[in-house]
Amino acid sequence: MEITETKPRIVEPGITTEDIHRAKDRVRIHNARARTGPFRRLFLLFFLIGPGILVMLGENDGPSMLSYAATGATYGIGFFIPFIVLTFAMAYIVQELTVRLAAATQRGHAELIFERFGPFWGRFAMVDLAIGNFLTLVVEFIAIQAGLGFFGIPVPIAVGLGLLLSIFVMLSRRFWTWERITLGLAIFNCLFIPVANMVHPNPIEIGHSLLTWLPLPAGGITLTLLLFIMSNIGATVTPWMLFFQQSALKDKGITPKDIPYAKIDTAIGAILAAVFAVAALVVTSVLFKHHIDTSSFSNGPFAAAQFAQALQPYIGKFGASIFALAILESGLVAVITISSSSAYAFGEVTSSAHSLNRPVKEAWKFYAVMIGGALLAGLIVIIPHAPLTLIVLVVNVIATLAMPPALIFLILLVNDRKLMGDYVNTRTENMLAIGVTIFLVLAGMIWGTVTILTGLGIMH
Amino acid sequence: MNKIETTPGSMNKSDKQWVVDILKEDNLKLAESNHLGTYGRAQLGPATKVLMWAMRIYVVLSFILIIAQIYISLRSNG
Repeated sequence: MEITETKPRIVEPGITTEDIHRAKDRVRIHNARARTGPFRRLFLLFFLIGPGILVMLGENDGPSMLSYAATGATYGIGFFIPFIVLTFAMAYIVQELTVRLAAATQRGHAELIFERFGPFWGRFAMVDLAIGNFLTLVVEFIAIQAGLGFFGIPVPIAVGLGLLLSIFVMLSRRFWTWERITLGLAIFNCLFIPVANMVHPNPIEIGHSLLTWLPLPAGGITLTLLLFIMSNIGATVTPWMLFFQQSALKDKGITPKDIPYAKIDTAIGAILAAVFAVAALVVTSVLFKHHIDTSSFSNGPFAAAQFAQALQPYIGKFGASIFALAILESGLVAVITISSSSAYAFGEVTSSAHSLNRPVKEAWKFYAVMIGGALLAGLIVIIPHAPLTLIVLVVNVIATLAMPPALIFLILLVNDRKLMGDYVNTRTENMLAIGVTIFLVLAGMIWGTVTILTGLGIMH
Repeated sequence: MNKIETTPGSMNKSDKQWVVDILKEDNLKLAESNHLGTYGRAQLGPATKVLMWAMRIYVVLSFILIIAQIYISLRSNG
């Protein structure tokens, strides 16, 4: 039975604009469910996809894509291609937990930590996330200005353009609009595919490495290899993803009936992100093949223009331009998604209005955190002599160290029968989730230790 | 898809009821009522309590590591 929309014109106390917009979004889903015909499931999927794809493609941010590019330039096609696929499989296992949590509890992640584990851990989760996210936003703007720097655009204009576009999206005042615009931007992460095509990769070589994990990185297990492995892991699973997806799903109004489609959404996101990440690696494998030394390139996001310039002899000015634009896109989408994750967490812990379905005047604190964080991060990048290199180094350490508590809370919450009811973790789901958690925690601790010891001069 | 107006004023009963019915059908609460009633604090078993204390120690160690990283970076930059 199709539900016809009426047109509520006015808001009364007790019903907010958030309720009206959410009801409108749910009507779409009800109508899609009521459809008959061969494309019914596709229609339903169309309305239910969003947070899963956004979280995965949002994690393919500027520094992550440059991390994959650096990996391709250093090790070429081989071990790291299936390794990247494996990391996204792990990301799916972790993110799927947030799908069930959101649907079963109708709560955001920070909100649940606050409710179940008390104000200390709730506020810690929010502050920890806010600091990590803010520093990550600075790094994203570095990537944006580095990407646009390839076109000779000065830093203030590049950052200004990035800010303008991201704030425009954040002010859509409608979750559906915000979601669809951001999805439209995120899909441009696929630009790495045509650029990868320009280097004429051998598909048999790629297929062989996927199946056999060969060739292994030359030189055996070195510190450099370890750091690349850790940076690839860090490029795939980070704390903001847990908070973002759960809160976005709650804002979208996802229910237990929608869980299968939300899982498909997350799987599609993981597959797309893995494909685009591998494409970024394949692009720079041409540098490896031609023995171009990229070890002297700047650290992380600063290297965007350098990689584009190094690739130009092989893919032409047009290809290099597309590469730089793809880095710009990856930074931009990350700014939008990461900013919203901070704002959601703040609103959840402080019990203030926190929905993209609310106008600014009803949820001014939510928008202040979201837009203010991005503004401040952008301004820091523009400031002359700002310690940007230090921020890039520290943000990696923070993201790595913040992961274990985030994962442990996630595991505890999905095993909480009072919260989850019938959607509590099964034994198999626990084995997978705990296995991934142990792997990520150990990897992070090894990486953090190696970084510190290297800095102290104890390791070389 | 009709555009929803959100200017404040009086809202007729059937429109208000429509919003409530749609959200109720999906077991979604009104946004205002989402903050009413919580799950309450989790009852932690002994193993979980030990884990929580281990995490507190981990948080302290993490702060030390981050400060160390900042110090190392500042030192290497002179």
